[in-house]
Amino acid sequence: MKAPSTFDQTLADARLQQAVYAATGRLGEKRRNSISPETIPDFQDLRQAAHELKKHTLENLDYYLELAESRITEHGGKVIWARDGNDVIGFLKGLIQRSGARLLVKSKSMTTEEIHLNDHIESGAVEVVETDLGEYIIQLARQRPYHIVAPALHMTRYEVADLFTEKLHIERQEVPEQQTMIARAVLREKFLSAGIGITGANFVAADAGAVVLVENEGNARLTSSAPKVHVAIAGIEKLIPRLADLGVFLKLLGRSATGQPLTVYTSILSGPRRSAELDGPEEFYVVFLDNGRSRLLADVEKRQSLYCIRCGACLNHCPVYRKIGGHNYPGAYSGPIGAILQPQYAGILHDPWLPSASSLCGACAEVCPVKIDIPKVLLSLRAEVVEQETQKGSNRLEKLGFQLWAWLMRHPKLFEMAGAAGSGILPEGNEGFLQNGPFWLKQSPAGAWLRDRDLPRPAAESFRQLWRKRESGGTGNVE
Amino acid sequence: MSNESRAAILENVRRAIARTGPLPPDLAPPRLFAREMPAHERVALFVSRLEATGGTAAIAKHPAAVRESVTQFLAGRAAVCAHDTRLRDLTGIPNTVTAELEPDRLRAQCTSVEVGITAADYGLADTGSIVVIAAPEQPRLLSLLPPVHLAILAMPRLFVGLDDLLLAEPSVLDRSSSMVLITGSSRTADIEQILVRGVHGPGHLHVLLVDDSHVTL
Repeated sequence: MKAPSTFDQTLADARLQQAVYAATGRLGEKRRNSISPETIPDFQDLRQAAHELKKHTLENLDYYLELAESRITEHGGKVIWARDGNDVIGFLKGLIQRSGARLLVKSKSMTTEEIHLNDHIESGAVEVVETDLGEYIIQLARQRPYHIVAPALHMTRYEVADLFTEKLHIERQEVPEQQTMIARAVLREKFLSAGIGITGANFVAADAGAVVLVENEGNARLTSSAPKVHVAIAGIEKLIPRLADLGVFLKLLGRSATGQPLTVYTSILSGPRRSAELDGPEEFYVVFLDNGRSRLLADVEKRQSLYCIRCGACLNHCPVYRKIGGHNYPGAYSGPIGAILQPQYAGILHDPWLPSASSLCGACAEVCPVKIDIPKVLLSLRAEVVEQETQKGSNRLEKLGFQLWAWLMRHPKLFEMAGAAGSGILPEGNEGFLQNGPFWLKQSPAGAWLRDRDLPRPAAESFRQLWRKRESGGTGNVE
Repeated sequence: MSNESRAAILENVRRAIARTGPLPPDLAPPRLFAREMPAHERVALFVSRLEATGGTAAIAKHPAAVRESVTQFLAGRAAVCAHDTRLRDLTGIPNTVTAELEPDRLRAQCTSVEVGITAADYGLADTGSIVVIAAPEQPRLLSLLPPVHLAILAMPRLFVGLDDLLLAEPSVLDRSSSMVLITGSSRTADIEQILVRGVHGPGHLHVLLVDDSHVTL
């Protein structure tokens, strides 16, 4: 259960700590201001409605997938079924070859992060450009998103200035407005010359065969409108039954993510351009990506992990995320939702410590717009880790330790002696903490536990001693 | 590859959910609420919500006042106006051209002017949004590429919210490949959470509400 060493770097970086704490705090505050009962009296009902809609859709997912497919096909689009990232990459490579596209523009999509799309598609001949400002910045910096909705949350304007100067060979510019305009100019060229536009999908409305894209910048609109080909990559859990159900989710998503009643652009796209339309893609593909989701679906209790609408609220409210930041999580998804998705996608023993990276305070479940009981899923995953480690025998030492403990607890005399011996090694008075104990303590197996924790010296007289005094007619004052 | 994957995914899904219920599945009617709101309140709500997003609004009390209001707003800036009968009053405003009907020329126009003028198909008061539906006379890029977007909205088309629109026009999507809800101007806060407008789309959205539009919509 050893944590990666980058944790120490993150915790020691005062600038980063401040940036993450302030940014997540602001996002949380914006959320709170936008959901006051005066603004939206039925917010809690909407959460329940969204939860039930997601539950229903997943319980009938085969039906809604086929319904969406038939509607998309009716409109002249095509559904591509992908079991995993390889299927997606294979399809895209074929498309690139057939269309002769050399440049692909992409709007922010966590699903494509999950399958490392850019790494697989980019080559000497093919360029893939991220167009969301935050994603563009981290693509230039060759990093991965720090936060589900604010990918470059950890970077300062000065770091962006360094990056733009180095990568774009331009004069140094430290003002965010100017930096944004630089990106606008560079990316505008890309939009207008790209052969293929790739987006994710916030929702797929099955009855309308429509892909819904939610954004603020306009890059998803450009990505899905300017190139001749639009590919929307949707996890199979992104379906909702009807277009008429969209309102429930839109009212929750913007508020939970950034405190906006509605984001600037909500695009509802149902196929390639109709015959007389002058713009919009000539080819429209929707990729239904499984990549572990159908396996996850089989577990009735943990299935709710798939309800997630990627608002990022659980990250902003998580005391663990706010300390360790986004890059210490092993997968594309960070924070509490990452801690439950990643182990289920990648396999539980890939990062067995991940479900334990939580204090189970419950803030995530309280703010989740679709009411995912994240702590419950975390506990269930922890149990699974133990079960699998027991099967593998990789937790033998830990088990031995606990067996010893259990044995000690069943032998009161020995327990008391051990307690007395334990407190005997500690200094007296205010210094009486394990950290100030004998030097060999930190070299012992207990050292790893002591690295971030401590215990005070027990009281001079133990509870048992006080109790015995009382029984024998002593002070009788047991506090 | 896709066919094989299709069968595999659907089979895995069916096994995972262990279906027992009926097909098509029973589902309660959508949660849509129609709300009564007098027209003047709707307009006031729309304007205040739009302004809260940084957008601006003006009201033309009569269709004849549209041209004047638009001319005033443009203040001589170069503009492209959608080739749309709803906007025919706007032909001939100095420095304003009608959108080309050939895709490449249209794109060139959209990238060279200051203002794109379109009709708004609907308005949503509770979020201050306009709804723009792509059509031959309403290309997508006209409300997206120019730095300023001016939308003309006929007041009878202003609904209280998305629910009301979907109740009144359940098949609103059928006639187009794209329907977009626009709520204010393009914005980002990706660098140090500092708000910047006009990232990729227009940095300014202006909506002209037209009272009692003479055009049948």
